[in-house]
Amino acid sequence: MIFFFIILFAISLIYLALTERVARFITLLIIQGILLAGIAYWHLKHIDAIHLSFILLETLVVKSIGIPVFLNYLRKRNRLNRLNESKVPTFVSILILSAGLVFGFLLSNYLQDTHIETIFFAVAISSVIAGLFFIISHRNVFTHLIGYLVIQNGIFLMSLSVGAEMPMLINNAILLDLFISVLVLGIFINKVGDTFQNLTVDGLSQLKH
Amino acid sequence: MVIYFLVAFACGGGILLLRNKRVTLVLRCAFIVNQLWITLYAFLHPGTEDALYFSFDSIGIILATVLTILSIATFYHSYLYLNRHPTSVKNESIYYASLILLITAMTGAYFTNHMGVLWAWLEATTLSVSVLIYHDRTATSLEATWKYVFICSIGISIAFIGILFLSIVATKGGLTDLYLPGLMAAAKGMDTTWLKSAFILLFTGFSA
Repeated sequence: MIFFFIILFAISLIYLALTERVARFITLLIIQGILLAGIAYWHLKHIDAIHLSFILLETLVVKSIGIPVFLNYLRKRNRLNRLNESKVPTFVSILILSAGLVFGFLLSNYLQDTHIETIFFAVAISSVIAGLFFIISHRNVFTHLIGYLVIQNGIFLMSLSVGAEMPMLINNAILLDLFISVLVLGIFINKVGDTFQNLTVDGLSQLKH
Repeated sequence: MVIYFLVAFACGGGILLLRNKRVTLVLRCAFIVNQLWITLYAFLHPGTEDALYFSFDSIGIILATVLTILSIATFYHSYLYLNRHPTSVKNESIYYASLILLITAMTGAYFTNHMGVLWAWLEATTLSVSVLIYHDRTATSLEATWKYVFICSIGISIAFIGILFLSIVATKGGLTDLYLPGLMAAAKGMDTTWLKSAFILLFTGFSA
């Protein structure tokens, strides 16, 4: 079951390159949140109930409900529907994201260690690469936030692969990071939208002159 | 350290909530005295541990001394700047509260002996500096703030991956936490591949 969820998570990373609709990006984040909750449950069901509930709450309530609701609010407020602003053609994006997945598997195979779960680690590395690529290849600040959240999901998966010894400490840190970053970035996305009338980075280049 | 943090947060919170010029001046002075006191306390108690996650090591004392001297100059310069460029009492309160949070977070980062706590303090510096950069509320300050917040958020995330890598090395070395003295003592026997990877990620992330 756990491998099924991880493979679905990896597929969701490839799907990132295929879509241009903002609502789909948000749906994808909801799906990733649910998949992470499933992975966390199957992987950590041996730990005590309070810690497990906290981690499930984090993935289901924060990642699958809270953040998508906030992103939807940002989408509606800034009237974002379709973002056809990728600097890289879709086919090339799919190739790069697939190469990221292969690289993740090769790296985790090379680093094979008894203290890490290889398949978790491979998909986590791929997710971080996919998030970084997503940020670099898009010109819209909203998609930058989506890319950042994909990186965060990758970090959560990585924490599951390595941090079984201190899950509460790691998950508290991830939660703190998510709250601060998403709220602050979200507030500034609204201000960028109000000041520059659109959310492309083209407007954010006055400091270069 | 607990008293220092309580006084610092009380000063910052008071400035933010009361929004009164005279009270703000008194609380600013109280914070500077608090900053001088913790630096002097650290100087007089080198090598001691405090409040579970902090210790006054030599590098921390030197950096905190430099920070304290710069803080006094910064508060004085801020006073002159805000007199020459008048702004609303609300904006002035937000500015000073953020400055206090920044100096407190930097002091916490200098004296902490735990990697996780260090990361949390650096997260706090990102938050406070973003408010300071946005002080003028112009299009250019918004552009600078967005770029700063985004780059720092990615940097902090990369540093967090570095901490996860470090936790792998620590677990392999028989450690159950990320205290710096324990990590330094076990460093010689650590797996160099993971340790070098962790260093690159931490260096890249924290320097962003």
